[in-house]
Amino acid sequence: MKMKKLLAATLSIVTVSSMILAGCGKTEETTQATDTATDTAAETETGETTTEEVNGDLPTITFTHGYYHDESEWAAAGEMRAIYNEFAELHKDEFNFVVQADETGAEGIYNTALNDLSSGEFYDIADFGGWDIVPVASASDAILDLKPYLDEDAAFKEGAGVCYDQNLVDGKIYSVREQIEAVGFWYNAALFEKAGADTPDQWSTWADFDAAVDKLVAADIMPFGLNAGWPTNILTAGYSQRSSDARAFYETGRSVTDFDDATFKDTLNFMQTNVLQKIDTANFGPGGDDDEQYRTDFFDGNTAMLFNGVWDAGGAVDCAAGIDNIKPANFPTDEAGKRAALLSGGTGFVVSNKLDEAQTAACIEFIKYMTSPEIAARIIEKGIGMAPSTAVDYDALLSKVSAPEAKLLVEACQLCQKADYQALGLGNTFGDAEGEIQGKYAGLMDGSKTADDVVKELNDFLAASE
Amino acid sequence: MKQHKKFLTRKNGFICAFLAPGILLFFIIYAYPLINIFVTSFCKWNYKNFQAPEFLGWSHMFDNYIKIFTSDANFKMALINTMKWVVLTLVIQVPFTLIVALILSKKPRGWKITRNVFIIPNIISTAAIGLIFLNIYNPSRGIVTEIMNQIRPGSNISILANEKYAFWGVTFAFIFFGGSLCILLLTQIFSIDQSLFEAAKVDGANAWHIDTKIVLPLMRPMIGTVAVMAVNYALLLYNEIALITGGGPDNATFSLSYYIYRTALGSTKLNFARGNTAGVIQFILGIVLVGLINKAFRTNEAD
Amino acid sequence: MKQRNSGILGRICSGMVIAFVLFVSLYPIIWVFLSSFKEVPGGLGLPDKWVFDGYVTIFTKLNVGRYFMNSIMIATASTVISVIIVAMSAYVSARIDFKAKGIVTAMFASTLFIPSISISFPIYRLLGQLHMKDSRAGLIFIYSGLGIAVTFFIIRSYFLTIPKEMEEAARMDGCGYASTFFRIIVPIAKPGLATAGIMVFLNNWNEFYFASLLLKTKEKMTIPALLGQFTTAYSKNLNGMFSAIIVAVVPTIIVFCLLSETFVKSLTAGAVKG
Repeated sequence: MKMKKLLAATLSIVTVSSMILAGCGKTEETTQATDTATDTAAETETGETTTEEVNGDLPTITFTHGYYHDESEWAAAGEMRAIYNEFAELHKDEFNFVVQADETGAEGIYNTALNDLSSGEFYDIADFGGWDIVPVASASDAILDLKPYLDEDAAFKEGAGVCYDQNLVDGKIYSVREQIEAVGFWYNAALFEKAGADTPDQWSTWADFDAAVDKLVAADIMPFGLNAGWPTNILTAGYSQRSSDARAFYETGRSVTDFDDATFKDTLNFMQTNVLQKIDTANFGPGGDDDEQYRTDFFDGNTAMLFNGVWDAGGAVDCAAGIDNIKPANFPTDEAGKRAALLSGGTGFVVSNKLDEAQTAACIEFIKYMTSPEIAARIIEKGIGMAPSTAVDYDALLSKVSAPEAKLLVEACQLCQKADYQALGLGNTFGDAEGEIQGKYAGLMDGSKTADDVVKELNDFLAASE
Repeated sequence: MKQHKKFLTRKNGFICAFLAPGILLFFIIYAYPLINIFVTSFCKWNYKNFQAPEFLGWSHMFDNYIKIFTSDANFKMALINTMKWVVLTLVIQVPFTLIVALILSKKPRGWKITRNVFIIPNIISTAAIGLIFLNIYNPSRGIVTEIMNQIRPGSNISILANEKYAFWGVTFAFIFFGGSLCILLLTQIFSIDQSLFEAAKVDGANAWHIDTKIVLPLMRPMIGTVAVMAVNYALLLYNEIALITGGGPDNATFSLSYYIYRTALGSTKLNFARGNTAGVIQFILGIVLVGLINKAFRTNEAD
Repeated sequence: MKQRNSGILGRICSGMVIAFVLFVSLYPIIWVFLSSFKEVPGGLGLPDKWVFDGYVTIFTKLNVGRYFMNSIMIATASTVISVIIVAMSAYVSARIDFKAKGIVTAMFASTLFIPSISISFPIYRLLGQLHMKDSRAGLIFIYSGLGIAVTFFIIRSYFLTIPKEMEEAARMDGCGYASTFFRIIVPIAKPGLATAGIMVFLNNWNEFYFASLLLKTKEKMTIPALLGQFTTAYSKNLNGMFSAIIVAVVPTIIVFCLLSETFVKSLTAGAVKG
């Protein structure tokens, strides 16, 4: 009896709470109903569907991606979905290409893949959006080597561009990406002018960088905002491209066993005295995903340079610094006039090696489509990012786009493409050690650490992670 | 005799029936993983042999433990920090929450609102809490740097970028948020028989006496539970670190859980063996701590 | 005279403590609330320009109702299951002497300290075998078991404070174990059960890791996924995120206040008589 009473009490609490919670409750079911209605309407309109009538006779492949955001939130997501769905529509007579958005994004796809791998499964094909699943998935013999397909098709190889060399590990290429992280930096021309400093496009070597920084500081303009992470890593990586010795050490980053290298120490010294100690503590953040103060400061017009990728052209829209003042740049080197930029492909499309021949062919077809010149142009035009292809004609694109932020993006991409030296970002180069390196910036800044201390600590880390 | 036996079987039947669902749940969700953690801490298990952990061999079985204690600076940092946080919750969070609960139990004006408001930080997602503290500590916009500048002009301290202060930055992001623990304590105080208070008042006891002589002794088991929960939170501390400092600056705010994450999942090496070794150590620490707390708060309980 | 002085002093102290609690606890929500109207969240003052973009997106573009319904369903079902199962175990552990009692208690206690990263692989595999991936039932199942240690401790220590004489009297009257539990213990322990229920509910309401791992279909997502709608590969829309936090949290607070009223009432009704 009492049990019943208890149950009744619990149930009533539950119902009451659900009624309150769904204060929007009444509209609840109706919206759901109308929503499905509009959904289906939208599907037939734009062909944006995930569950089209699946033809049982045709091979079926499920493609998972992380572009789940509403267009109003991230226009790129809508465009990417449209690109995928157009492919599915185009080939609907040959195979069923099921496009599935993972609402937890690229990180969610990566976590799920790890869990799947632990029970011997893997996606048919998925876009990992930079999350590096390759080492573990290839060691588990779960994914397909794309190299043979790239080698037999010159157009495909050209489309894959920098990904071909960057993702080539032990003679195999497990991943190709349709867009890459292209990184130079941004500057505020008005602030440079005010300080009477040479703008980055006039620099010939890093000495000009130093001179400009000093002039900015003298004019009471903060040269840049940094933090114990991303923007500072960009500068570290950029400065590491200054000479052939420095580049040689940098290139061995993935397999580095000893940080006791003269060029690396020089980089640290440069970061300490010429970069970190030039700015106030107020302009040095703790780092981490949520620390974007350095961007805010730049777009508010308070700092002269911003170390971030080409995609931040979007940040210039409606900013206090004024979009007309914001210009893209690539890095100088110590070889007069030569330029450097960071281009990281990273992990993108990864295909299971357990698919049958027809399914595999469909996946390859899809990756070819995604790296084709048409899609590459679309990715840049729509301001989504930079394409890996080395064949993109940026001059043509520049005349095609009209929005100022799109122009900025194209210009930035162009500078990265034109750079004499193109290297991977710090994370793609040093792997886990990136996290350790960025941890040392604060100590370098306040002088509690020297370059030698940092090198020793990094070597201890390498030894411990053996 | 017969009567007694019947009684026993009935008792055993009852015990089994009542324990079965709980134990089943325990086995499915915890037992297997627990064994898994223990076993793999004696294995080589990283991205290279992700699907098949390999036993290190009898002569090398403690290699993970030896390595983690001798050459892993991050682990050492994580262990020390975690112990500090555990002590701090016992010294600050539990007494603070207890005091609040005792004050609210007198039902001063606005006590209900205070009780409900106190739990808000526990309801808000930690993602928000993380961002809030990131802003508070932000040297150019936040208030903490400004206050420090008033105390020591020109110090311009950036809490989270400074190895010495970042630990406290993380600590203050959770140490005063004891709302749910307060609810537990309040529930317990209110269930104390009112006649005890009345009798004490008749005897001329004041509020302080009632609290220390009657309420606190009666609440010992619940205070113990609250202490266990608080310690558990500190021992598993993860979100605040991931969201506010990311373990930095220079790994100065690593906690055990964050170390496990970074070692096992947060690196492409996926060193699960090492992560699980830390997991075992964390687990044993927890058992020991709970044992100690239970001992300290043991009441007339039989076992 | 002395007595009165200390009374005033005490009141001042307690007033200060309450003020501190209110400040510490209200500050976050007020900050988030104000920030949800700022173009660039942050800072301490009022928004310069009031922006409603986040709320507009949430209520027009995203189907909030669906997230709420899923969360309510999953969190409520798992809370009820968890509290009932754990209460039964906790009662046995708190009250009845048997050989394996120590082991059983230790077993439940030990679940406190297992990092969730370590349990995710085996659980994921199991749910795969049961064909419960991407299903709400699977998530309810996991949530029912996730917090058992905390629930166990709360309920058990509440049981421990109930005077044994009451059960003994019932047993004298010929009540069996089960009926003693349901008729005598459960009604007395209602506040304890409710408190445990609230803790479990809040945890499950905010749980993100397993939800993100298991639920992949839009229709099945829970509230925490709402926050992710504003995080793109390159940036976070903090205005949107904070609006989402407010949308997610305010109903929770209201429900909590109402529920806490209910169980305080059940207390004053005098369930416990020494």
